[in-house]
Amino acid sequence: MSRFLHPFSVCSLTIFLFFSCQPYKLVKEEKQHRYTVSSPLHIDVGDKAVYRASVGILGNYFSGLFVIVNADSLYKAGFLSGMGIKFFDMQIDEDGYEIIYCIESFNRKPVLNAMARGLRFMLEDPSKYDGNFYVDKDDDIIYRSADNDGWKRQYYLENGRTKQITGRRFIRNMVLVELYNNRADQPENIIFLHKGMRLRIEMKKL
Amino acid sequence: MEFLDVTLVSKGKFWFKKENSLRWQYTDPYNYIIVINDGVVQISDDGKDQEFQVKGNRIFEQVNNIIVASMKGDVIDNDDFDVQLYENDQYYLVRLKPLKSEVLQVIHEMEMYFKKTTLQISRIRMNEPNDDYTLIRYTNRIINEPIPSSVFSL
Repeated sequence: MSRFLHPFSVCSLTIFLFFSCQPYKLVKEEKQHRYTVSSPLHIDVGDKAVYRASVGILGNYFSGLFVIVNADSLYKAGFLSGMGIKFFDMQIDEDGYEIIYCIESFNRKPVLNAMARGLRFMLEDPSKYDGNFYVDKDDDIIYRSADNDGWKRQYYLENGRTKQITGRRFIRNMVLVELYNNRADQPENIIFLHKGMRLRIEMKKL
Repeated sequence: MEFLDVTLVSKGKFWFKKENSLRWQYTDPYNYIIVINDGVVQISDDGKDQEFQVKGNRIFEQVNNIIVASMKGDVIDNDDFDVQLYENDQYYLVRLKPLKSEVLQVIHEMEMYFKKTTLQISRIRMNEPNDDYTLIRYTNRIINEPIPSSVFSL
């Protein structure tokens, strides 16, 4: 019995190690090529930016204007309908986010969490994470951010699209952030996709 | 938007034809069209078209009803709102407070200003529960000109 179990266990362990450690392997390799990225991809809204936006949540779709205001690194974001009625507004800073107003359709904490985290990722200046950037052999930028709540995130660029690497391979790309642009440093089209929440935000700068 | 300390201005065109046909078309800052005809809503948003029944969306239905009523002149005859009337030397003001809680969550009250000289709607202000509001101003009005039926479809 033990002779039979032994190779099976080794095989299982190998498979487990291979799949569970693959994302970490990628970052580990890049540590050898560490350097600071001078213009990492993020949304620089200046004082204010207005996007035309559509948001899909759990099969419901909303479209309108998405406004982001920067008040000394305290970001305020609001989304209102084409007819002018506001869906929600929130403020985002380094410590987290606060919902100021929200209609019932958006008022689900996991959805708001995912949305606020996605916005914070897109808005925060990744240069403050100097030393956490890596460039791999295909010139993909990989960086990790550590939120105050202890979450560690890893992102990479693939064909000009920013994607989040999650800790486990099978949920890799569960969260997808695409920032693609006509100008080198200022994304004008943004897609934030969270498959688990059935949340999709598409934004186009006006 | 009070919290963001931002005022957003949109411009466009508005067509209305008795009894219930309207087209609401934004041209600035982007193209966005809402057509309501025979109880069906059609929306064109950046080339993406969608269609649904007005009755399926209570808030949309009531906003639509009140805008249509303001055009037709029977805004006061509405069981879905508590109605108050005011006047100054230039305007009649009709203040409507929704009676249904689901609408009240989104629209605190609507104010409709009618010019005394013409008795026509001049502006509509939709006040939200959070101090934000949407103000619709009607300008460059053309009345009783024929409107092709194609205007009320996408």
